Amino acid sequence: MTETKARVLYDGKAKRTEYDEFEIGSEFTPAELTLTLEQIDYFCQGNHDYHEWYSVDSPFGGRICPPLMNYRAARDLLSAKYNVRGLLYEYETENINPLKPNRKLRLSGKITNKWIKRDKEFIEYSVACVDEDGMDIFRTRRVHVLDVLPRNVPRSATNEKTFNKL
Amino acid sequence: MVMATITRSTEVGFELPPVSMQMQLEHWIEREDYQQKGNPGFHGATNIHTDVEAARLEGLKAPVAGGPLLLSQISHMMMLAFAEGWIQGGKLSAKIVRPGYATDFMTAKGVIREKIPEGSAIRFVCDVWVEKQTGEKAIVGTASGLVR
Repeated sequence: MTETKARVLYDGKAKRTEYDEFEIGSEFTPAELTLTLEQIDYFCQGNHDYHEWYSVDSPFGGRICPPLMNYRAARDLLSAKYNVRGLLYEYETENINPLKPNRKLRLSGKITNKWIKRDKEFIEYSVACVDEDGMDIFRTRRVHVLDVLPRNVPRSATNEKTFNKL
Repeated sequence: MVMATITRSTEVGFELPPVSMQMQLEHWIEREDYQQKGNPGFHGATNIHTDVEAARLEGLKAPVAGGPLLLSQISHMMMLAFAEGWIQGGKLSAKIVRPGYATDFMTAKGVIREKIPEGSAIRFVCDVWVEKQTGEKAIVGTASGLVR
């Protein structure tokens, strides 16, 4: 793929979490989050994902968030506990009820699995979101591959250019 | 008034209206700026989606499209097809099987595979994918929306 001879051990944030450090069943620290109208605008602009219901009004009573705004919300839970870069490999979501701005959202989740396939390390996690009234908003499951490079490549490189700030 | 494309009488085999996007590194950099503004706690501004050196250090030959950017194309397509039935009751299960590069022209496509009664509604199960201009698939999966 490239001439890179080592997987990243340190990035601009800290030491990368290694495969053996992920514990199946380990729960993330629950988080509360309120999405804003401004964040909807930024998301739509950044992803070219426009719809009248996101930008003007919807039958749900005001503007709603694009469903993919659940991506960051759930990923932040993972990033708050583990220093993972890698690549998203699988994405699963159930849009149960509209994701609305200016509502307090409660997120919880955990590491649900991990495995090695074709010499790559994978982790799986799931996150559930309810609103301030306890209404289910979304459920999502993700799989990340920890590195582009295979696991037989030593983990010793530093990449200060890429990191998650959380 | 926003209307969904799919109605109860839409038949299996119907092709969803596609959604296309030209990938551009400039857009990805701009996108990170938007993400920084909207979510100041997340990525650094340079990363595998925006910076050649950062991507190479991770073993990539070049910056790659963020998964959510490509998944948004599928979500956009499902939104146009199902509207309320995507927002409330929609499901997506997708795998990213090939990276998207900054020169790729990506199109989300879908076809109705199955209609399943669900209470008084009908769940339309669709094969969905995002393909490059070469026909190579970058994302493959299944998505469904409800028609009430």
